[in-house]
Amino acid sequence: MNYLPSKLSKLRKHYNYSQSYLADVLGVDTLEYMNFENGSKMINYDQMKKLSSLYHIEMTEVFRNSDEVKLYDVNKANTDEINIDYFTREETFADKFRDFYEHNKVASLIIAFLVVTIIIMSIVLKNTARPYTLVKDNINRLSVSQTTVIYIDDYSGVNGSGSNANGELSNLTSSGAIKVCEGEGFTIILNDDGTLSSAGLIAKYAKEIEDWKNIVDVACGNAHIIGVDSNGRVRCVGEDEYGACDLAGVNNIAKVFATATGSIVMDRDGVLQYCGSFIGSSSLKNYYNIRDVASSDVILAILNNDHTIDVYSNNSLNYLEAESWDDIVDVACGDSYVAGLDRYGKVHIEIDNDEIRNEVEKWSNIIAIDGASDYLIGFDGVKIYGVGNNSYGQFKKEQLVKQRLDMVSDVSYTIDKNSISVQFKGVSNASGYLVSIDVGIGVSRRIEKEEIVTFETDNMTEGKNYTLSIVSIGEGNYTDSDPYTLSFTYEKPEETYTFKEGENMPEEEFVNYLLSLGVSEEKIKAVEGAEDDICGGDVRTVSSSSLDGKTLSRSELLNSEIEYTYCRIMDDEKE
Amino acid sequence: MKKSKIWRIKGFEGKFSDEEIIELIRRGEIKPDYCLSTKDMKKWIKLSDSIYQFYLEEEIEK
Repeated sequence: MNYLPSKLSKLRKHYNYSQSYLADVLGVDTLEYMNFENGSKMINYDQMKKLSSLYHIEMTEVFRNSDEVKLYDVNKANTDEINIDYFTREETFADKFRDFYEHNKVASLIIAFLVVTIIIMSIVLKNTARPYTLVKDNINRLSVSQTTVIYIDDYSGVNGSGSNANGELSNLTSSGAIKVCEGEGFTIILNDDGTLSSAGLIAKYAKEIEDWKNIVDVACGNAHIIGVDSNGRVRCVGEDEYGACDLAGVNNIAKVFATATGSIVMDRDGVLQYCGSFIGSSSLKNYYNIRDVASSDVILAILNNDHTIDVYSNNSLNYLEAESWDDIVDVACGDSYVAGLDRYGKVHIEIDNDEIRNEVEKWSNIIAIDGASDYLIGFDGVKIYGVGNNSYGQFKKEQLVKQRLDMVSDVSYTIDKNSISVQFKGVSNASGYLVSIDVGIGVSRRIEKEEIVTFETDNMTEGKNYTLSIVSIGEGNYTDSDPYTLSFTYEKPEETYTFKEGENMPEEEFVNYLLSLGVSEEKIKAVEGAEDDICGGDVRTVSSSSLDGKTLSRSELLNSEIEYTYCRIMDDEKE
Repeated sequence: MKKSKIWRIKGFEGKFSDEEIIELIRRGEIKPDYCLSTKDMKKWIKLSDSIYQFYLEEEIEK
C-alpha cells in the first residue's frame, strides 16, 4: 500500500496549511496538489525535498512508506530517540469541526452549538498542563559568538572553532545535542534528555544550569542564559546588568529568544514578552507568534510565522530588500547586514558589500545560518561556510566538519584470460572500500578491508577504455575519500602454451601440433637420440624438446627455435 | 525534460533516476532488502520500507 498520499494529507493538516498554500509551495495548481493527496498522481523528488524543508523533517522520513514521522521528544528522559507518531494523536474537536463544516455547510445551528463547545473546551485545555516539546530543528544546530562557531554534526556531536580563551570549545561532549547557543566565552548545549551541558561557563552558573531539568528551549545572550522547561517555566542565570533576566511572573512559555543584553519569551498562545535592553524592543508589542529573532547592537530582525522578515535598525540602511524575501526559515544579522535562509537552502543577504554578497550567493543546500557583528556563517550539515572577519579563526572557507579519508594507493591490476584482479594499499580509519569498474550495473564490490578484488571480464570489449575506481568508505567522524581512478584499455591477454617435461609422443603428432600453432617448419629441428635412447617398434617417439617445462605465449613460441630429440629405433628393427 | 539521476543503491556504482529504479525492480535486479539513498537523505532506506514498496507489491502480484 502506498502511504504517501495519507502522509501528505496528515502533515498538511498537522501544520494547519491549506491545499492551495501547499500547491503554491510546490509550484503546482491546487487540483494537482489534491491529486497528490488522493493518490492519483505521484509527487516528484524535488517536491518531496520542498516538503522536507517546509515540515523540517528528514528526507528519509518523507520517503519512508509509512504515515508516521520520526520526531524527538525531550520530555522523556534517558531516551535517545523516541518515535512519536504525531498523527495518531487524538483528533481535536477543532479538527472534527472543520471536517464537519466542510461537508455540512448548511447545518448552522449545529455549528453554532459546536463553536460554543469549542470555546468551553479551549478554556479547559488552556488550564490543563500540556507538556511542550521541542522538535529537533536544523536551524538550532549552529550558533556563533563574536569569537567562536559551534555546530552539531549529523551524529549529534558538538564541534567548534575559533577562540578557546575561556574553554568554550573544550570538552564539548554530548551524545544527543539538539540545540547549541553561544555567549561571550561560553557554550551551552541542550541535550535530547532535557538537560543542559556547558563549556567555559563560570562555575556558579554551570552548577545552576546542571539542576535545570526537562528543558525544551534555551537561548544565550552575551552574559546570560535563558531556558524554558516542558511545563512552560522559565529559568534564567547570568549577569543581569540590563535586566536580561527580569522575567518575573511569566508562565506557560513555549519558546525563548535572547539578544546580547535582553530576553524575549513567547507563550503557547504566541504572545511575546521581553526584558533587558536591545534595539527594536518596543516594536515587539506589535508582534504575535513569531518564529525567530536575530539581533546585533544596531539591528533587530524578526522572522514572522509567514516566513518573512521585519527589520528594525538605527543605522542608515532601511533593509527593504530583506523585508521582501519570502520562504525564510532562519535569520541572522550583524552590524551592517541582514541575512535570511530560505526553505530551499539558499542564503539571501542585504549588505553594502558586493564581494560578500557574491560569495554568499554561491552557497547552496544550507540548513542553518547565524552571524556576529562582522561575519556570517552558513552550515550545510557537513561544511561550515563563512564570510567576513575571521580574526579568531572561527571559520575556514569551506571548512570540513568530518575528516575526509585519504585515497588508496599503489593500485595495480592484472588481466587474466577471463578476469581482472585489482590490488591496492588501503588507508587507516577506512571502514571499507568500494571498488568498481564502469562496465555497467553491478560491477562494483564493497569490501571490508584491503584485499584482491576480482571481476569477470565477460562484458568487456577488447580495445575499449574503462575506468577503475576505488573509494575509501568513511563512517563516524570520517567521510568517504575522493575516488582513486585509473583508466585502462582492455586487451585480452595472449593465450599461453605450457609444455610438460618429456612429451613422449609420436614424432609426427608432436610436429603437427607445433605446425598447427603456426610454428614454421624451418624452426623445428629433429636430433636423433643417443646410443642409450632407444625405443622399440617402428614409430619415432619424442623423448625431449627445448620446450619441455616451459610456458610460452604464442608470439614467444613462434619466435623460438625448437629442437627435439627422438629416440632411436633399435638396429634390428631398422629396415 | 531530462530525468535527473538522484538515487544511489548500496553496493552499486553510479546514480539512478526514479524510472531506472522502477525498471530495476521490475527486472528483479534489486530486491526488497536493497538500500537506497540520495544526497538529501542522512540514512539508507530499505527498498521494502520505501514508497517504492508499491512497485515490489506490483511484482509479487504478477
